[in-house]
Amino acid sequence: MRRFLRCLPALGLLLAPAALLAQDVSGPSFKEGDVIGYEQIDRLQKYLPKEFWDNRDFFFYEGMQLRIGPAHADYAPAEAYQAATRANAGKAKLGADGSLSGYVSGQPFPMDQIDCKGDPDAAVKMAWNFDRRWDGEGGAAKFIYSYWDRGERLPLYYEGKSRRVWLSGRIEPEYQATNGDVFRGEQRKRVFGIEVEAPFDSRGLTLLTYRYKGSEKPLAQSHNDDTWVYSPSLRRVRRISSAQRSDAVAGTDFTFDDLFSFDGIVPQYTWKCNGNQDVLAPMNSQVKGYPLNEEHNFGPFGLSFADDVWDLRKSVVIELQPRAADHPYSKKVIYIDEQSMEPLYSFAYDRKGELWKLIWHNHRWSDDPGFPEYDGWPGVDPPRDITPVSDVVVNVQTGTGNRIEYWDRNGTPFDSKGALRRYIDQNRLTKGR
Amino acid sequence: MSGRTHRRATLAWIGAAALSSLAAAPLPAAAQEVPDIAGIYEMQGEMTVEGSPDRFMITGKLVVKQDGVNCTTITEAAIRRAAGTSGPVSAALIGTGTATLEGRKFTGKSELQSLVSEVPELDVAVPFAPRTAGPVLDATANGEVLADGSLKLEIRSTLVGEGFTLPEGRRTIVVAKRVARSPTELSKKKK
Repeated sequence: MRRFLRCLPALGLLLAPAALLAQDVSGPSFKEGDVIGYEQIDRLQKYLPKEFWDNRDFFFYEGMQLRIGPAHADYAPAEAYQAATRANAGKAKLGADGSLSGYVSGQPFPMDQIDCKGDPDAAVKMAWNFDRRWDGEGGAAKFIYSYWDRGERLPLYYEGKSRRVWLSGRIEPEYQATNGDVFRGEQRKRVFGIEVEAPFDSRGLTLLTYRYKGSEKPLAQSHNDDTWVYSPSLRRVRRISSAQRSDAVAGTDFTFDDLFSFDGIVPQYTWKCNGNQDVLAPMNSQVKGYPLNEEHNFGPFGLSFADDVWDLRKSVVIELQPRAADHPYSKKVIYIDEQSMEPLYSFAYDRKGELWKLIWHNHRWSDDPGFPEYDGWPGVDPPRDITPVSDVVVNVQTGTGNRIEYWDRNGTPFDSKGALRRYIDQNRLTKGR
Repeated sequence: MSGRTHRRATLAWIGAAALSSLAAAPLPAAAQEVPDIAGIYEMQGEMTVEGSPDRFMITGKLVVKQDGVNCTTITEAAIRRAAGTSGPVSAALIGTGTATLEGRKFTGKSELQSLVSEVPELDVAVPFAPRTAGPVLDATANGEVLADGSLKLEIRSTLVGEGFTLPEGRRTIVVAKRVARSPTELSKKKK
């Protein structure tokens, strides 16, 4: 007994850190159905990226009602995508510069086989999985792009339609004979189009971008994107071959490659896996924004999704560093949903290493009863797609930002191949003008 | 590159060069004590080229972080053609710099990345229009704190790297008005 008493102080020293550890690993202080107001936001801190929490003044506000959704809900992609992942496992290979070869369809590198700590290529494999995440046909939507300056909505805006179409890696049965290509011998990977409808002086501005399969090759052999831009003021089309699109421009805080947190070319960056983290994020939005509702409250800065349902998710955290010396970013840290590979948060740092831009997203679940706009199609029914429906970027240095809303986005394909063929033809930019 | 395209590109770089010095800018000071100039500024200015009808309008943000007389700056600005014969042009510069206060005068320098639209007719604020990173510019600025607390700057810049030239005789004057102390201070203009 005496010996036991002598040991007590030492036992206390041992127990103290254990107690701290227990605090660290304790579960969340919230449960599904809880409504978190501004006064309770401290309960969220442990489940938010540090950069987000440090800048919470942009996002949390008095009057907000953040409802806690399910923890780790099943948002696994469409069965056909999962089947393609199983069928093509082992075919995708990494090459020089983190390039990709041998890919057919599905997830290039099954996530359950990637070891973040032990595999030096883990992050670039995840980057390819992110690049080739399940996305339906690609996503069509009406959008509004608004500009914000410390809570003031600026007069400038753009409104229109956008559509992304995957021409390779398709999982529908009709494309199995062509190894996932929509058209036999296809060299394009995907196509992205934007048509501006408002304001009046920009009406008719049209962009069409091809990304090629060759962009997945090592840098020396890489095929640059081609973009066609129709400018109504000039009534002509310009073609641009972009070697390096990543930029940041005054007036808009989003760059093309910031769409969906990262929409760039994987081999143009080096990648690092920072680990895993459980995070809260808006995944299955239960509110509606443009074009379904134009009155939703996005908070005093206009850049918040706090008034919505947030799910607890398992995320992987990867970090990119541009290989190009003239890239404005020194690095970007991206939080990706481990199951769906959808972007949750990302944080871009300037060349001096200071946090510059914070990007985050809202999503909708295609199979939610409140999402009737997203229909299944032959071979992919139900679609099982967590699709982004809004992106926000905040320039934390200047207090400016942008919000893109496209709450009706869905990946249901074109009704016919003819309609698809017409959409991706750059000649349509001038037809009828 | 056609002559016209080259001319547009050159003009874009002229604008970029003017903008570059903005990051170097703002640092005023009271005669006896160090003025507090930290905050976010909205800039407006103009660049003219002697003997040329070209005129460029400059707008953007300047962020000043202050530690005594020493400051660091962040510039994000756009430059747009307001007059001239070479067609529309817009460009942008982003970057960082340092500056030192001496009374109500200040001097600064900065290194800025130029960004130019690959479609010269397309304004830099149009989302997702392809843009390309151009050369870096070194800029110096001399200025003063005006009576109302705004900063007035005169800017000179030089190009780092090759690929284009800049005409002599360009003059850039910018006035920056402080609009906030921090990025999370809501705009007073908000309705």
